[in-house]
Amino acid sequence: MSERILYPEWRDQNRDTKYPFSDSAKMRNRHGVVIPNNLFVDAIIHPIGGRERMYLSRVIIQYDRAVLFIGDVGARERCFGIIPFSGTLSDKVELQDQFGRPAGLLLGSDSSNLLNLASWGQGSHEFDIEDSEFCANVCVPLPVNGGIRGFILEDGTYVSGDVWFVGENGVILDYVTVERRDFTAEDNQTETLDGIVINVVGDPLFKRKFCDNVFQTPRFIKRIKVIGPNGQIILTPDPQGNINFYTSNRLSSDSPLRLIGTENGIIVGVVSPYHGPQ
Amino acid sequence: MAHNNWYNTNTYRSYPFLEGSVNQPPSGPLTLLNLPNEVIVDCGFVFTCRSGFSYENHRVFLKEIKRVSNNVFTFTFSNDIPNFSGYPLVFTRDYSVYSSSTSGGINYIIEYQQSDDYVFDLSTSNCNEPIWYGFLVTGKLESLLTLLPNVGDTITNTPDSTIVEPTLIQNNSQSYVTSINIANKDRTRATAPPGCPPISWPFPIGQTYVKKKCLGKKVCFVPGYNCDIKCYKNTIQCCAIKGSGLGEPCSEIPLFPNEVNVLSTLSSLSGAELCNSVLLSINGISARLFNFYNGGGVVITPKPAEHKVVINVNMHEGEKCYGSS
Repeated sequence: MSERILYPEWRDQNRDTKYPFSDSAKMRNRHGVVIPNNLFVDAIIHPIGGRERMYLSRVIIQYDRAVLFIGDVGARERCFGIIPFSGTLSDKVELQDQFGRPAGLLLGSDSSNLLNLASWGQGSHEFDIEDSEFCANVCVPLPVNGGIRGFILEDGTYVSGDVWFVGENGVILDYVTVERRDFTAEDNQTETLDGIVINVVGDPLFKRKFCDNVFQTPRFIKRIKVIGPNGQIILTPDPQGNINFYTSNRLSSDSPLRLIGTENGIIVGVVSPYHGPQ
Repeated sequence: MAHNNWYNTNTYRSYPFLEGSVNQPPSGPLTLLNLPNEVIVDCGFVFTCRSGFSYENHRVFLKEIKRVSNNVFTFTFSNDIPNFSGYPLVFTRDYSVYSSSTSGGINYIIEYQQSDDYVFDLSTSNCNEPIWYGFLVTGKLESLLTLLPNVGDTITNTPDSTIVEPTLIQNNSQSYVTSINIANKDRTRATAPPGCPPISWPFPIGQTYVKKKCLGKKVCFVPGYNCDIKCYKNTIQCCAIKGSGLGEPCSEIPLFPNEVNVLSTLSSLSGAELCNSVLLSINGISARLFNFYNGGGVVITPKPAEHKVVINVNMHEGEKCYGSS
C-alpha cells in the first residue's frame, strides 16, 4: 500500500514539481532541451531594475562551468549565476548583475543535480518566457530609481556603499553648503544642499612624486650676498625670482665694466680706454 | 479537497528552517535543535548595503529563545557575518496575549524588527542604517512553557541548529550608495636636499585627510579653482581649465583646518620653496647652471667651499669692444 506524507518538508515538497518555475512553464525550449523539475527547489530573484515575468533566458555550458542568465520582459540578461563543474560543489547558485551586485539565489535540489547540466552539451541554450518563467513569489525586483544606486566610472568600475571622493595629485576637494531656492515650492523656500567643491590647483612637487627613485631635491640659491669695498648687502629675488646686475651707478655713467648676457650666463669684462677707438 | 493553509502546514515541518536543524528528539542538554516545528512557522530577512552578506558564506539562524518574564519570551536571530554578529534581531512574544486571543485555533503572530543602526560616523546620524531587517511568524507557543519553565531560562543554538532557509533572505549588500564622503590625499611633501637636515613635520604625513562625512540627501558639485563642471545626459564631467570656476587661487588651499598655522615656519604648505623665494634668473637669464664668463679685464675666482664667486676687476687684458673686429 502506498504511503503519503501529509506534511513533506519544504524542499522535498518542491523537489518533483516545477517550482520555483511557474505552473505554466513548458520546462523545455524549442530545440527540445529539457529543464528537469528537480533542478531547483527554491529561489529568490531580486535584481535592481528587474521587471515582471522573470525567466531562465539562457544557459551557457562551457567545459568547466554553466552560466545561467535570468531575464524578464525588459531584458534577456538581467542577472546571472555560475555553476562550476569542479572544485567545491554547492547547491546554491548566487545571482549577480552586470556590476557584481547580489541579485538573488537559485537553490538546487542538490549539488549533483546541478552538475547534470553538463550533459546538455557545450554551447548556448536559449529559452523563451513561456519555456521557463519563474513563479512571481520568488521574484522581488528592486526599483531602479530608489536614490543613487552607485557610481560607474569610465572603465566600467561600479562603486557603491560608503563612497569616498578623494582628491589627490593636485585636486583638492572642499565642502560648502549651498543655498538653493526651490521655485517649485509654494513659498519659494530655500533649501540647504551639501556642496562638493572641486579645486584644481596642481601639484608643484609632482616630479619628486613620480620620479621618487631618482629625484634629488635641488638646493636653490635664495639670496646673494654682495661683498664690496663699501660693505656687504644681501640681495633677494624680486617677485619673479630675478636679480639684476648693473654695470654703472649714479656716480659714474661711463664705467668700463661690461655685462653681456649669453644663453646660460653672463660675460663680465671691461673695456679698456687704452684700446678704444681714437 | 481541503488543503492546509501556509502557516498551518509549516507547523508540521522544519520550514522556515533547514530540514534537520530543528525538531530533533532530545539527546543530552536541551538546545534549539529540539525546538518543535510548531513554534516558528515563517520568517524572512533583508540585509542592507553594508552587511557584506553572501549566500554562499553566511547563514542566518535562531540563536536563542529566552523566558524574560512569566509570560514574555524573546526570540533572538543572528548571523555569522564577521563584525556583525553583534547586531541581533530580537522578537518578543507575550504568551498572555497569545493565549487570550486564541479561539480554538493557532494564533499566528507576525512581528517586524530591525537591527541596531550601524554607526558610520559618530558626529552625525545622517547615514546610519540597520544592518538587517526581518519578520517572524510564530505558531503554537504552548511548548515553550515546558521547555523554559522558569523566568531567565534560555535555549541556545548549536552550530547546526535552526538555520534559516537561504531563499528567505534578500541580499542587498553593496546594492546602493549609503553615504557620500569627501577627503583629500596628502599633498606631495618636500624633502630636504642632500646634506641638509630632514624637514620636521608637526603631524604624520602621507595621510588621507577627511573633509566631510555623510553628505546629505541632495548633493551638488561646485566648480572651484581652475575647474569647470559639465553635465552631459547622466555624466558629470570635471575639467581642469586654468582660470575657470573660481579662477586661480591667491594662496595655497590647506588640506585640514590648521595646516597653515602649524607650518608657518615653512615657505609653503608642501615645505617647498616658493617660486619667488629662490633665485630663478639673473638679468632675466635663467639657467640651471648659471655661468660667469671672464670677458677680459676681470678675474673670476670660484670658491665652492665658501659658496662664493669673487669677481675682481683688475683692468688688465681689457677688450676694445665686445663683438667688434
